[in-house]
Amino acid sequence: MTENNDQKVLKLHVVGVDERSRNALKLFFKHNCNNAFSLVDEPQADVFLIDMDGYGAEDRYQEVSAKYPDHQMIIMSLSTKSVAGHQFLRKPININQLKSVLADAGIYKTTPAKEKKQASKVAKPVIKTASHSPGYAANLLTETEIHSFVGSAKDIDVLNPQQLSTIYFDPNNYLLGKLQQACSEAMEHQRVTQVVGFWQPITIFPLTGKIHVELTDRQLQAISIVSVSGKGGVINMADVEIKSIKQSDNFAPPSKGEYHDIETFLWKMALWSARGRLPIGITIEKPVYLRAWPNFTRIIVTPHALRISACLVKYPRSLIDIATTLQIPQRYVFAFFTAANQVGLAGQARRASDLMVEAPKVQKSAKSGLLTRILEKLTRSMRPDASL
Amino acid sequence: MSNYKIVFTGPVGAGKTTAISSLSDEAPLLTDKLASDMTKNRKKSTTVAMDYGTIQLADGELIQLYGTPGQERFDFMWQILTKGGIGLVLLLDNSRDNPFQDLDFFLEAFKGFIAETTVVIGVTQFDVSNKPTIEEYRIALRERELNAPVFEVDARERKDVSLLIQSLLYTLDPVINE
Repeated sequence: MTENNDQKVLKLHVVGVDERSRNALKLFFKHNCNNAFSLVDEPQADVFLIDMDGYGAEDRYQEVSAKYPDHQMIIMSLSTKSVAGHQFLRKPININQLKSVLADAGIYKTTPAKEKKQASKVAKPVIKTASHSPGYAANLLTETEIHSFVGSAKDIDVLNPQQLSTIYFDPNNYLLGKLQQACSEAMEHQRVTQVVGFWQPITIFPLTGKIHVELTDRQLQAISIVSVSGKGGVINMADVEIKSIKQSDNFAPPSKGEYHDIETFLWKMALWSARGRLPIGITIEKPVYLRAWPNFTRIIVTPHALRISACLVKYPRSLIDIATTLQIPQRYVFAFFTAANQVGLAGQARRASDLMVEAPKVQKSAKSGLLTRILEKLTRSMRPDASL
Repeated sequence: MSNYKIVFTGPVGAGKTTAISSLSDEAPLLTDKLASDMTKNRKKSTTVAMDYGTIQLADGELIQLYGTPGQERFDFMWQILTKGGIGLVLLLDNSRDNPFQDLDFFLEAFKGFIAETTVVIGVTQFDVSNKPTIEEYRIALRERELNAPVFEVDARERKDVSLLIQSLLYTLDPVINE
């Protein structure tokens, strides 16, 4: 059922955005606007949304204005812009603001009673006491493992610079940085690549997507938490090298040790190195993206990782927003993000399309009671002491 | 009594019957028959009606697990099976000739149901064929404007199937918590 049974679907055409932003808007309208609006090609449009932030936007605006003098134009920008005779809509687009602007322009009829009724049907986000229960992952990981993967840092006050400085680490000061670089180089050049210079080498096989190590998990964990920035430590960064194997090197595949999937291995190393911290350069109050779900059946599932993924994969959000929305400690969010970031699945949202629409509030499903009970059943039966 | 169900679909041999068996509280009802056509090349028996298993919740309510028959000639049953469904679990066999063709086929066949609920994808037989990779599936989904969970799954492993279903539940509502 649509929101606007008594008015037709408003057809919008967006000018001055790239294909990715257009797709972001299409999905935004599809999932959040109850079929009130649809994105169409230029000739079918009732209204034009002009993005004034893009290159050549002014020219495009003039062009469309001249071609469709009788059509309504809504001006959009990240900063306030005033164009005589047109309504202004600030980016990222918030659906209520869009409706309000269109209503002010006389091209969209808000139906307060109906909307109110609809709004009452939409459940508000659950406000629960902070969930410090590690959840499902804790059923598979021991307390010690959880501590080694996500640390034990308390939530910080983002406005306190001193506290803020404690949540960052530089992956390049750890073995993680070298591994990440070696994996990138191996994949880029499609060449077997080794990280050498300490104990046994770590070998990356890009064609099979595997990484070979002879070190045990205990040894790897010990190395991963050591900063290798200075001299005189367990590992000297200057001694650690990335070596691309050439055909002439007569390289023989290792006979001892274990092969791991690259993503699985890097994920674990990132968790150990970060212990609930973030890579330097990430701004916690600005949105980050998750471009796809991690392969959860083959990686370490830290506390609340599935919930964080579900929350982040649809829209970029800030890390603080996720912790607040899910009512979980910040370190769980930071640990997950760092691991996803190191395997190339997550990063700070900087693309124009990421800033096009505002992430809607995470809403509770009408079936949340049922879903929770199914979840409880699944996780309870996963516990080692469970009787099926 | 409520009639909630989770629907498992996918091509012949993708592991639907095994996945339901891994998760079901009771021994599942199987409607397998000796394979007699091209299916025979992939497995000895195949599902001709549906697989059925249940998960009993703490309050006694039953969640029904339905597996669609993999052969396309039974597709008339698919729409019936999805009625009242919570979501779709699509299992793909990575050892088949063109898993992306299977992906397209099942996404199209269950388009309406997916739009109303959600879909999660489990890729089986990675030990037989490790290509396409999970990353290639992610890209394929992105191209189809889907951002669904896609995991490598061993249908015999309860943990794998459970994680897949959990991702389905969280996709429907990230706020829920055990």
